[in-house]
Amino acid sequence: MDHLDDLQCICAVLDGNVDAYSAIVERYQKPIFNLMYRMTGSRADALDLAQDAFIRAFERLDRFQKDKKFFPWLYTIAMNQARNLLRNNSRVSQSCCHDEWEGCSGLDYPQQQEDLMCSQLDTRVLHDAVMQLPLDYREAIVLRYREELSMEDVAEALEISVSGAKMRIHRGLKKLRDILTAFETKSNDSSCG
Amino acid sequence: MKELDSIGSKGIEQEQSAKDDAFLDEELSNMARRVKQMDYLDPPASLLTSVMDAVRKKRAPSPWYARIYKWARSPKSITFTPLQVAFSAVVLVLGTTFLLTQFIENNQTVPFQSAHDRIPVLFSLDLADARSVAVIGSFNQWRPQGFEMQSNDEKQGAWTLTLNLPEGRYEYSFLIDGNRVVPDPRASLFQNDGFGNRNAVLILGTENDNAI
Repeated sequence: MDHLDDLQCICAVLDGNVDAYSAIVERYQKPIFNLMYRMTGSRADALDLAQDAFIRAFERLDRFQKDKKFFPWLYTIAMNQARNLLRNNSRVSQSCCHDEWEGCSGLDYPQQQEDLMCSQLDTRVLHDAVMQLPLDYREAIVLRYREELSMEDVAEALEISVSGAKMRIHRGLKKLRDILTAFETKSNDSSCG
Repeated sequence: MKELDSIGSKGIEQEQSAKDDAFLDEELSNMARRVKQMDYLDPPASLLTSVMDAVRKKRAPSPWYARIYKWARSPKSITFTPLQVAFSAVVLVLGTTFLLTQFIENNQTVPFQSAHDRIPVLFSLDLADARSVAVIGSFNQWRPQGFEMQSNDEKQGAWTLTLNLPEGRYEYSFLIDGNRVVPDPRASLFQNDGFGNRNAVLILGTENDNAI
């Protein structure tokens, strides 16, 4: 679905067809839910926050500038929503223990148990490493590489300049490499021991 | 054709993406590729339903001017009782009468202010011992307010006032100190007012049927 589809849905909602909003929610619920999960580390909190973010975006839909892309705008709202909650509510914290990660394997050959386990381990390690990144770096590289947003859209979603977005991504990837290297070293040491 | 366009735009996007990532070395590019393959959690099915349940209870967002336009375009039915109609009619008639009266009164006070073709007329009177002098006449319904003459600073006792009057025949006099009425001694025409006094007569314009 592209920008035009988003616009059609938005125009339909603004014309009074509230149900047209469901297409937008379906389209973006996964990245927004995962953003909230990364922010809170709890599925329950992520669900609440994602719901609030979509409702907030609906309420402000008339302020959306139609010449811009919808997803960065939605992402900004969701990020601000999550930041506000984290600031106001000490119960939910970025540093709290995360729910057990159960990433989708996407693999379809159960007979090769070893491959599957290795893949799951890789997924788990990558997830943990990403979660250890500072928020600003993490969201910049997730938006750029996981969501495949252009550098301009990343900058818009994070409300920074394009050069600022590039810098964050560069530093974020470097930090991620350091974290993963540390994980591997630790893993090798423990297997040797 | 659409497909070709889509392939073309994808190619451009990839090219732009490569440009954006030109600052990454091989190792960091590998990191980026790993992030690209990062798994996502599937959101619970309840997310969509809960959001849609919540937004259905809300009013569809729209700018205030769009709301006003929509409201103005939708037909409205108004119910009223005969008593309300009678009351409204009385208020309407009284209001209109009042406004009309005000309008006529204002126009009568200064009838020539809205006229286009006016002729400047200089009224003057030499009277050294007067404290105030005003021009009163048929052109201002014999009301002195707003028609006070100014005394000349250079020549003591010289009172003047210039008015722009439309063509016509007028009777006028000077009101001295607010209590004494004197016709213009320099006028060439006079007319009795029917009460034993005389007024000066002023005729303006070349084609005047009212000329005596």
